[in-house]
This record gives sequence, C-alpha cells and structure tokens, in this order.
Amino acid sequence: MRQEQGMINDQKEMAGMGIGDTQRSGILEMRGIVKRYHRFTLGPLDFAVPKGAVVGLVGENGAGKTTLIKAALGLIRVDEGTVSFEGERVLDREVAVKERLGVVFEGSTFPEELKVPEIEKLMKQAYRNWDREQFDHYVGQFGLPEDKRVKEFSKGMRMKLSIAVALSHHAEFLMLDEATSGLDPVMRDELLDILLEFMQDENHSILISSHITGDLEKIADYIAFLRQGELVFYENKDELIYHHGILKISKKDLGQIDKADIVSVRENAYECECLIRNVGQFSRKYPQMTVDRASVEDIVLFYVRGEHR
Amino acid sequence: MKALMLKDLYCIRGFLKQVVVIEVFLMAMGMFMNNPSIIAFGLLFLSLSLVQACMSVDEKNRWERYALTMPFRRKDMVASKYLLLTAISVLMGGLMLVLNTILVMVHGGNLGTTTASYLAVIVVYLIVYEISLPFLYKMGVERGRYVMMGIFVVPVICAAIAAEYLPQSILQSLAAVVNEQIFVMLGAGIAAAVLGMWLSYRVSLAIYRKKEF
Repeated sequence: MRQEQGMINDQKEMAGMGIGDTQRSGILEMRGIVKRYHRFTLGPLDFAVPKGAVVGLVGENGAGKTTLIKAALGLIRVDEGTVSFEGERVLDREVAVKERLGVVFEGSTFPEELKVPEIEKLMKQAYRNWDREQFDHYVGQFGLPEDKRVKEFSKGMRMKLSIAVALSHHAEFLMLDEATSGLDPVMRDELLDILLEFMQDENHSILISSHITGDLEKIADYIAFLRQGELVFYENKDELIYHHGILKISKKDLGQIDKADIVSVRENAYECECLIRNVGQFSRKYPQMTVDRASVEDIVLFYVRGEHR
Repeated sequence: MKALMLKDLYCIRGFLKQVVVIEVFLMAMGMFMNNPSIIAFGLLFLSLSLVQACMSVDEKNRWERYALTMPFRRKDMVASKYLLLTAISVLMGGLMLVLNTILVMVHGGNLGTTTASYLAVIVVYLIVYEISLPFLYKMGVERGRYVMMGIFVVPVICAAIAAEYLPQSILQSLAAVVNEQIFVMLGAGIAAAVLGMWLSYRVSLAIYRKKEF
C-alpha cells in the first residue's frame, strides 16, 4: 500500500511536469482543490487545462470526475483551493467567464415541455454571442425534430441538443461530462469529429470526462486519471502510451523483474501480465523481453484492477 | 434574467390547460352554489401556485445545475422567481379587481369591501409564499411543499379553535375592529408583504448561495 502511494506520488510529480511542459497558459486552473463529503474526499489536487488542448478525464464511477467538473463550474463549493479561468478567479468574473463556456452534462437538462425553437429563443436571451445559424446547422445535422417536446426525445437526442447549444454561442472552452455515454457508435464518432473541428481554433480547449476511454484516446491531448478522489496521473496522451507497455511473463519469471519497473500485475491461471512504467528503460534493462503496446484503457484497467507490487 | 423569465413563462404555459380545466369546474361550482367569488379565489390560488410548479419543473429537469453554467449568477436565479411571484400577484390583483367589479355589477354588493377582501387574500397568500420560498429552496420543492401546507393550515386551525373556544363577545369585538379598520389593515398587510418580499429574497439568496448542484 505504501509502495502504491509512493508510485502515485511519483505520478503526481509527472503530472505537474506534464502541465508545465506544455508551455501554454492554462485556460482553467484549479489549485489545492479539496472537497469533502461524508464518505468521499476529492483532492487535494492541482489540475489545469492548457489552452488549445483536449484533456480527457478518466476514472471509475465515483472516482470524482463529475465532482471535479462541478467544482470547476462553481456548482459545488470547494472546502479548499481556488479555481481560475485564464488567471482570474472565476467567482470574480462569473458571468463573463460563463459566456465563454459550453457545458454538456449527462442526462436531461432542458425543461421537458420545451421545443427546439423555444430553447433557441431562450438561449438567444441568455448568451450575448448566440449564433442562430450555427444552432440551426447543428439541429439539422443532428436531425433534431423541431415540432417535438424535449420529453419526447430519446436520451441520445437530448444529448445532441445539449451539444448543439454548447457549440452555438462561440464558446472557447467546452466541458463535457459523460457526453458520449448515451450515444450510439455512429453518433459518438460524429461528435468526436465535431469536437476535432472545434479544436481547429488554437484558442479552443476541451475538458471531457468519459467512461469510454477509446473516445478519449481518439481526441485527447492529455489524459487525467482520477481514483478515489486522487489524481493518479495527468500526462500527455502520446507520452503516456509511449512510456507504458504490457509485459506477458510466466509467474516463475516474474520474480526476476525489478518491482520498481512494474506499475501493477494481473495474473491468470497460466501467466502474468504486467504494466511496465518506462518501456524504453525497461527494454534496455531486459533486452530479451518483449513489451506490447498498451492502450489508455489497458493502462487505466491496470491501475484500477491490477495488483500493485 | 430575461431568459430565466422566458423559461418560466414556457413552463407556466404547460400548466395553463390544467388551470383552465379547474377554473371551468370552479365556475360550474360557483354557479351551483350561488357563490361566484369561488371563481376569483380559485384563479388566484391556481396562479400563485404556478411559481411552485415552475420550481418543481426546474428540480425535475435539474435545470438549475445547467442554468448555473450559463451566464447567470445565483442572484439572478433567485431574483427571477421572486420577480415571477410579484408579476403574478400584480397581474392577479388587476384581474381580481376587474372580476370583482363585474361580479358586483351582476350580483350586487359593496365594491370597496369586496375589493379589499380580495386584495387581503392576495396579501395573505403572498406572505405565505414569502415564508415558504426559503423552505422550498432549502428543502427542495417536494419536502418544502409540506412546510407550505403547514403555513397555510396551522393559522386556519388556530382560527377555527379560537372561533370555537373564544367568548362570542371577544369574537364580535374582533370582527367589528376588522370591519372598521379593513383598509388600514389592508395597507399594513401590503406594507408587510413588500417588506416580507425583500426579507424572504435575502434569506432565499443566502440559502441558494450555499446550495450545491
């Protein structure tokens, strides 16, 4: 357990390096965030979304992803820490900051009695930069019926409506909490394309949480992994994938490997699978062993379900 | 703020059909009982409950969680509901005056006294709402509704007990004072309702600022 904690601390240091290495100012910066609940505590953690980057937030149910997003949005009061948007405290410039945010939550958001044109009128009153043409474009692209009430929409259609609204007021920063979870694979792919299109502007940024790590692997520049309220790692996605690998080895040979090189181990009846932390260094140390590529999902699963040595 | 009000108006529109159906029923009941004031009181009761209905819709759809990510402050969220309550009260006050004038012209009666009694009902209802709204914010609409019913029911029960057990002489004196001073009492009631609105708003805002979504 102590060793695991040590490893987590190492990863946190890497997380700090990851953010600093970007050489870009963070559009969202959260410092020393702590939120305590009866049986759960988020943090203390530092978290930042670099300008022009897509940050994917992964973790199990109850890991604190939504809590982190809510803390960033001021929907919950943090016990400690500050949240700033481009260097200024969000609380000081609340309305101006929110004009530049597009937010998508999982599940129902709009009053169910409303129809799409009514939501358009409402949003026109709410946002100074509301773009009706853009909204109509997305409504058409997503095939949202204008004559039906929101209550008649499927879960996926409701999500599409939220996304259409989030993308139609020239937001610079999108925050999506499990936005892809209610969508079919085709729509998920379509959404990822739309998000990539949104990121064509170098001033745009996205923070997206999802259980579907494959989606994040497609679009994220950075992956932040939360576990039990702690930020286990926050790394550049390419580096994360490059540095981690999976070693398949017999139980007998496992003892030959230095424990410091292994993040965690998963055993089955015949062999062991180990998540290796620094593949390059490992390969130089053990040239006879072959390390396979690990996906983000593999890495997360090893952190969550693997046995830490 | 305009967007929040517009959203509430759309929500109210969803309840209008129910209001019309109940009003038609009350109209028939009023005619049957030869008591046309039921129509006006029913309309007042239904319209003021629309604020609570809007809050219930917000809660059901988790609208506040989303609205607070839009360019609104918590202050705007609370103020919009108080504005809605004020707007409905003023609108209903005007409508009641018109209705009452028509009823007095058709059925006869003292226009001044009946108008004062209608306005008194609005003031009482408004004060009940002003006490209830902080509870609705604190406890949520479902649980806050019971507090609201309690605020309505407890004074009615107290009045019924008083009417049953107080000596007739005292009751008659009280009735005489009310009849003589009805306009003074109405003025004091309106002043109390205005002050109550401000106080209630401050308390609700303090609660709402601590609320998590």
